[in-house]
Amino acid sequence: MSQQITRRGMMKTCLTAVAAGAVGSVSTTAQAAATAPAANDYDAIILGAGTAGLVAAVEAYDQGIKPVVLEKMDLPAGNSIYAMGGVAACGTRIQEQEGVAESKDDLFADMMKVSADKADPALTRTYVEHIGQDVDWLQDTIGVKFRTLSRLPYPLLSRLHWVEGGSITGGGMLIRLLLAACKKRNIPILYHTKAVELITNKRLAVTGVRALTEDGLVDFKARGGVVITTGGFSANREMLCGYLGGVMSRLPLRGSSYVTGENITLTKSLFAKLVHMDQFHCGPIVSATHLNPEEALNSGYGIIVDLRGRRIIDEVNTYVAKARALPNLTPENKAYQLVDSNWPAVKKMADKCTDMNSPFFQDDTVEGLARKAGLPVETVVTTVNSYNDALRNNKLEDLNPPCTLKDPHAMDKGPFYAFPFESGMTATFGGPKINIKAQVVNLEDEPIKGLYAAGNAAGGLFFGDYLGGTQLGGATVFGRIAACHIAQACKKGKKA
Amino acid sequence: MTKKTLLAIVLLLWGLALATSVVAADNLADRHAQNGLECTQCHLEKARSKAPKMDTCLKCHGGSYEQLGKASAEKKPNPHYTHVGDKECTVCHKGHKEPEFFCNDCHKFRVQMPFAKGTTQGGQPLLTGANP
Repeated sequence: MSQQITRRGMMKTCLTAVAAGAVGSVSTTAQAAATAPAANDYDAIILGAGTAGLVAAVEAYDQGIKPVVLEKMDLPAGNSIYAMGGVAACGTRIQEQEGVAESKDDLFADMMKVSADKADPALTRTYVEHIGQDVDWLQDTIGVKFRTLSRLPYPLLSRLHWVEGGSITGGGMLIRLLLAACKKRNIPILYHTKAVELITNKRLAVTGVRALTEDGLVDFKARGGVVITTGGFSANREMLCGYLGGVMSRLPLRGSSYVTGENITLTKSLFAKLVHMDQFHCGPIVSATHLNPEEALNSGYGIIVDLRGRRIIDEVNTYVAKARALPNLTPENKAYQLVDSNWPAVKKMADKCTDMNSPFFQDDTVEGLARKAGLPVETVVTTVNSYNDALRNNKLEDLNPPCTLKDPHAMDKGPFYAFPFESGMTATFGGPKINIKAQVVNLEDEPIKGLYAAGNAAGGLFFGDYLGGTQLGGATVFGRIAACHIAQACKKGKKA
Repeated sequence: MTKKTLLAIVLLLWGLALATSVVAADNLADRHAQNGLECTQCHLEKARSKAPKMDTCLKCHGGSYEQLGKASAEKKPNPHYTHVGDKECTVCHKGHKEPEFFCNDCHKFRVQMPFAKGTTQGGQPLLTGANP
């Protein structure tokens, strides 16, 4: 593909300047002090071709500086392509056109509330101040098409701007459009190029990146700065065990297998302040097929039973809360959402499973359903009958666990369905703390000169949970900010 | 039977065997050979043989990835237009061995690929009795 050809061409240019055979013969990075020929000199080096990285690249170019994106995989392979594609915002042109008022202060308050007031207020404030114009920028500069806004339950409200993905995920479409914007600007994206070390000067300011390429180790020089946009460490089992520990460190992945913690490994040796390291997001998944059964869990119909056929959680919880609780409620990290045909969308859910060849069970009776699903028949029948009896007697809150659905429905209309699910890891929130200029700070809260982070690589914006649409939003906001700050530094002729 | 006749019969049988093997091409490379392509038309590198890059494939197939995506738009999922982006063709379409459907590294779609042994990639429903 064109980007890869570009990369190989550049590697060849580079390697002609490196002593013949030296790159291939070195055994450690310390020995591989590859000289940095002019071909590898850039203003901004961006690590990782996800939303934050590609946004930063486009913005850097449009600010008049020379960026390069180093991507370790063959394509953008981070979590963005798995995202549904929502961007939570206030003050956008779309909201104005549709006559919707979402204030900055309200979004700020709700983002802080969702994070139990433990997110960094300055970063959160920066988000709400920038996201409106950034959504406009995604439309105007990147060509993103957003769906018409719809009013959603709190805290999404009329904030969620869905990227129109067509037949693919909204996140996948966003990446396609960002790649096209980079291609239009001839911004080099060097695939199969994995950053293995940040290069610093004697003041510990970051001056470049050493990367492993198909042709060996290559040094890249950054005149303005390096932006780490490699995502978190959701696919790094060792880090998950170390920072999360316990059952939550062994969840199946919902997203990328290649988000492996370079945000930590590259920055820790520079004494970056790593924050929120035990924080993450999880959600429901069928690990064997990667079907997301969220519609069933959020339907407001039916009950959730474990493999022993007993209810395990108040069905009023959101699908995220249900998924988060599951590994601690069941040793198998597995449960079934049982629903009946009172749920109007049950057929649609079944069709989705069929299309994805993902398991579900259906039968005209509860007994038959339990038998097909391999659940203990008598217990399941008793569980369903108890639920129906409690509903009829207005005693749902006396069940154990209670069911506090405001508008509960009887389970009495066949056919009945069982949709299996597990809890899966979405993304980690921990990383090197950034300030409002997207600069990584050290343990003394001083910026590490020349070092930036954005997206899920950066720490500070999320804690506990995140308000839907703020992951892609945060990647956009702080990706642009990092690029602008590097551009300013380049224009002033000094490293920020 | 003269030696010449015997040799002719042996050569004839050998030729038939070759022809049969071509007709029964069971992988992508054999099919290309059957269609008269030389190895070097796909394997452009002289030093060592590598899997061809997509630009080489697209010269004869589709012209562009976008066109490939349009041509297979009716398939579920569309293998040439996915959320992971435009993978190299040979990630799935192996030249000298069975194809591998990359999507099924995570998913379990029922897909029929050219030269796949059996009828599906991704296999049967995952749990006995599931998906009525």
